[in-house]
Amino acid sequence: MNFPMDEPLFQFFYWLVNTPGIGAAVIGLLVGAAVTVFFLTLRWIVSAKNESEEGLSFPPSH
Amino acid sequence: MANWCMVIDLEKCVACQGCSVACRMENNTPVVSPDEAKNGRAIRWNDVFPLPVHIAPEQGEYPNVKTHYATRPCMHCENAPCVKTCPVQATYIDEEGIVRQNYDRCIGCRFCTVACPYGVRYFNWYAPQWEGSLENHLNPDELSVNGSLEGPAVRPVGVVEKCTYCVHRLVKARERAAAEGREFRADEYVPACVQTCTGKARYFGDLDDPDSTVSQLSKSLRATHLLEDSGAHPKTLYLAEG
Amino acid sequence: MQPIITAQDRENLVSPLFKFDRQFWMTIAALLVVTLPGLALYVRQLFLGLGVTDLNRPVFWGAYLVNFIFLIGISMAGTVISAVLHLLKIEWRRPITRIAESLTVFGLMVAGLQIIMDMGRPDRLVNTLLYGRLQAPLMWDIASLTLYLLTASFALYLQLLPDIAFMRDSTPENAPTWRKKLYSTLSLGWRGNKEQWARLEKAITTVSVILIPIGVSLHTVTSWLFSTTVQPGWKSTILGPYFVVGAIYSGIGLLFIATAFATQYNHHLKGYITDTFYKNLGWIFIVMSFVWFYFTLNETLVVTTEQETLEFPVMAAKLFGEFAPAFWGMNVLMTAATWILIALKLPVKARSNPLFKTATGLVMTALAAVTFAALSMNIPALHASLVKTILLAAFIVFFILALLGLTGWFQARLIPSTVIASAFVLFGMWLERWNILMPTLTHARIIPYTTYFPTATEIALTISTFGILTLIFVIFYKFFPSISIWEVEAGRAIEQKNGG
Repeated sequence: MNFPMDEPLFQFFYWLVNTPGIGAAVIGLLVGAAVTVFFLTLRWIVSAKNESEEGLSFPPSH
Repeated sequence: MANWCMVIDLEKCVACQGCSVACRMENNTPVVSPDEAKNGRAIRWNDVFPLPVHIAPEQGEYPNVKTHYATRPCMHCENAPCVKTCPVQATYIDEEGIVRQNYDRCIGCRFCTVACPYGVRYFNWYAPQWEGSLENHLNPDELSVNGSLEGPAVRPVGVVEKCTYCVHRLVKARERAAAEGREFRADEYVPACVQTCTGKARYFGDLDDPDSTVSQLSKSLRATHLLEDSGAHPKTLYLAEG
Repeated sequence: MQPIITAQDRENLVSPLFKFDRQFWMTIAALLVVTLPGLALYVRQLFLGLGVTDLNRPVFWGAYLVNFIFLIGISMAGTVISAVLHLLKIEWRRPITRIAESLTVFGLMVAGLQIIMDMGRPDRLVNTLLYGRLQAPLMWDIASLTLYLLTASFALYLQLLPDIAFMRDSTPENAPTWRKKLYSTLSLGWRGNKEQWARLEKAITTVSVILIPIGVSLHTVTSWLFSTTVQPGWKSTILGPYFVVGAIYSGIGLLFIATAFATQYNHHLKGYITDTFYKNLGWIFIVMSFVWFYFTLNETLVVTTEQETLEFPVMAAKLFGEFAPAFWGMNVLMTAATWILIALKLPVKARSNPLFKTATGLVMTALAAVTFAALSMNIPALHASLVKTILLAAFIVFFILALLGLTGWFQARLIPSTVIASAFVLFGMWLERWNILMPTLTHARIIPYTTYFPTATEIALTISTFGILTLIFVIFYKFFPSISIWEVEAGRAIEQKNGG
């Protein structure tokens, strides 16, 4: 096989893709990050305060 | 560490299917009904089939007919497609170059069976069954790796199984050598199919040892692999019919 | 300025959500009747093992995987389409964004079920989390699917938020308390002040931008399940974009069917989802047809021309072999669908020439169906070269005459015709997925060729899957308005501004 497996960097890459559990960790990271971002975004949206508390039923920009 | 390898001399092979039967008895392969077998569900870790596969076995016109047969254990590829696709590392290549299967971890997604170009992997469609007294003659050998059974252990429904070069025999041979307080020699270990082969068409040994039979044979001009172009770097060698 | 959401709108969009009438229960009952047999057979499969399917060696994957790819495909519908239309600020998207986005979420949910159905050991699902390996393409698919499902759900929720608040404020007095509670909890205290709207719009736009690459990644990764193997017929670089195109194509089809179903279910919705939507999205549908044909031609032509020893037997099975009915059936369906869509756009109405009579069209359709069936049947007498040539020629003539004959009928009925074309596309795309998986699996290199046909269990579970999809759809829209109320308001506001 002419693959540069002697190089430590590639050995590390191989370890990364081949070790059981790392895939799950990556998925967990993705899910965790996504859920956190979504949660924070929702909080950011509803926490918005405005001087006039008049409720609009559609975006005012239109 | 050794690099185990099998060489099959097709010139000597008489296609008696002895290897297939020996493998079945050694590895506790379940039997299926003829109907299921016709539907492609027979499990033969070591299969015997005509080559080329998709053409009628007899070629030529009577009386000048000829048939080619191949026997096929696992290729124990160095770049095994099955190992690369397993999402949970239920199949892996050990330090001695044997592609092994962890029945306790396999989730039955059948990605490895689809990825294997040689079709050496089998799936347990139903819970294993044995007819009549066969059940009383199961091989009691056990190979436990980190608490999960491998090798000839009876497989549950829904997992994939495959030829392991009878890896439990390797473990046993090592243990015997250790108990007798001597060094383990490579020729103390052969898979059941090699031991039983009628025409002595199968050789087994350490490919990394330049003096072993298999590494001598691997230099033969007749030495070839099945589907050499698959990119899987299969290790089981064939000596082509001259 | 007059109130933009009128009492009539409330009557149309909000009241039906609190009416559990006979129609609703009948629909639920009918869907349960369709769904339950499959579930019962699944329990049987759990006990006996996957032996109850017709899967074998080498056909290790079958109907469940075909359904999986198909459902992943149709789930592209919504989100990506509505995200693209949102970013392009296309106005006619407004009434359909809700249905489109929800289809993605529901489609992905049932697609996930397919994987579990297909697993030999569903009890070990947790192993994918304990021992997940990054090198395995299946892991990429799990990652992509999870991320897409989460993001699409988030997009749906963002889009729903003002409407949940609207529901909270307009729940009828006699509504059950738990529903009031549900809306007030889910609305997160949304008041709709200027700043909240500004932030919500920003968030929706951002999510739209993120959703497009995630959606594309999911379809590409699903194709990589196949194209990263060394099996003939799969190891192709075109499979990724082919899947994406197929996904958008079938996604639009599902969107049309879902909107038509929703308007049929609640007649008042017809005032919101108008012909404009069918006409405009119809153009995109036509474009996708041609892109799809272009990819299919690419795949077929290259392999057929090079006739490589490993790849060609697989292609030959599709072109002339046992998969020919499915392959040509798919092409016939897609051609018919494309013609129907084009006919709707033709400025000239079909003339009263007998050639363009509906009756002629129906007779020709029947004849075309008979000749196609004859060509598909495995009767040696029908495969004598002369007979086959005559049958083929006859089929082509009948097919063209059928399309021409029915043109007038199609032109007179925009929505039914679009739905028929969509159904053709959906069925054709299912066949396409089948044609990608099965020829390769049945034509393994050194395993004897086998056949595969889904057993009762697999067919029942396939039906169940679509039953579950519809069930989720019906129940979800008993709780939330199927038209985005605030989007409709915003659309009307723009119209008012432009109109005067």
